[in-house]
Amino acid sequence: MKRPKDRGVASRELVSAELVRRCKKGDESAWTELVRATHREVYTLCLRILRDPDDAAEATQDAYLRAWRGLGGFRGDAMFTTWLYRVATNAAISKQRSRKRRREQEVRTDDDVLALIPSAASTEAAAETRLDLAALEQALEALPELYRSAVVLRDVYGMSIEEISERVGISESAAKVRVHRGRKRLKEMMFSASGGEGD
Amino acid sequence: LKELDMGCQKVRARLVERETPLTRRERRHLERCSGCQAELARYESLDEGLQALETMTAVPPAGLEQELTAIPARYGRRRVRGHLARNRSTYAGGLAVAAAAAAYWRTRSRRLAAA
Repeated sequence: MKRPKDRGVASRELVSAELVRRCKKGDESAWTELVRATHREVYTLCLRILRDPDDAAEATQDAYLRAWRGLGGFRGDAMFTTWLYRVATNAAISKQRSRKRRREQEVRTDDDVLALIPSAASTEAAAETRLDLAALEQALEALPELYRSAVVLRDVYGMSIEEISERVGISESAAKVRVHRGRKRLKEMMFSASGGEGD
Repeated sequence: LKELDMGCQKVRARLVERETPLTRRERRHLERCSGCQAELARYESLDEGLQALETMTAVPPAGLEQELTAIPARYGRRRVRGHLARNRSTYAGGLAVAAAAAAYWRTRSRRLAAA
C-alpha cells in the first residue's frame, strides 16, 4: 500500500543555489530572475488555498515581500522552493484568517478559478495519472475551506501533518482529521459517478 | 449501498489515513476483499492525481510579476546582516559581564595585597 510521502513540500527545485546566493547579497537582477522562475507556482499555491484570484495575488505579493525581507534567514538546509512555499503558505493562511474576519466565506459556484488553471490535457503530468486532473481541481475547489487547505498542503505539496498543524495553527490531531475528511470527500466526489461503493 | 462488515469498515478507515502501515491482519483482509482493493485503488489514483497537480500552474493576473520584481526598489535594499550584526546584543552582554568580572577580580586582588 503506497502512503502519501512527506515530500518536504516542494518536489523539485525551481532555482539554482547560485541565484539564491546572489539574491541574499541584494542583487536585484537575480531577484527578478527568481521571481520569474517561481511566481506561477507560488501564485497557484495561494490560489488553491484561497480560491479567489485577487486574494491569491495579494497573498503572493505578501509572500515575496516576506521572502525578500527574510532571505537572510534562509540557511540552505532545505530546498529554496520548499522555503518559499512555506513563506507563501503562511501568507495565504494569514490572508484566509483576515478574510474570515471580514466576511463569511462565499460558496463559489462559477468556474472562474478553474479557468485559470490549465486543463489536464495540456500537461505532461496528466499522462501519468488515471484521473482527470481538471475534474480533480474542480472537486478540490468544491471542498469546504477547512478540508481543502489541509488536503492541498498534505497531498499536493507534501507537507507533514506536524507542519500543517504549525502553519494553520491547529493541533496535529485536528490536522489529521481535516486531511482524513477532505480525502474521503474528494474520493466520493471523484468516484461516485463511476460506481464507487462509498462507505 | 451494501452494508460493510467490521473488517471492511476498519480497513477502509485506514486506507483514507495511510500515515502508518497496515497491520498484518488488515493486510490479510485487503488481500481477500475485492471491495477494499477497489477502494485502495481509488485512493492511490487520487494520490497520484493530487501529486500531479503540483506541476499544474495557474496564470497569474497581468501585472503581478512586475509588482513582485519591483519589491526591492519599492521596499528598499535588503540589509544583509552578518553573524556579528545579528548577534550584537549577545556579544555586548558577554563583553559587559567579562569587564565587570575583571574589575571585581582586580579590586579583590588589591584588597588582598593590602591586607
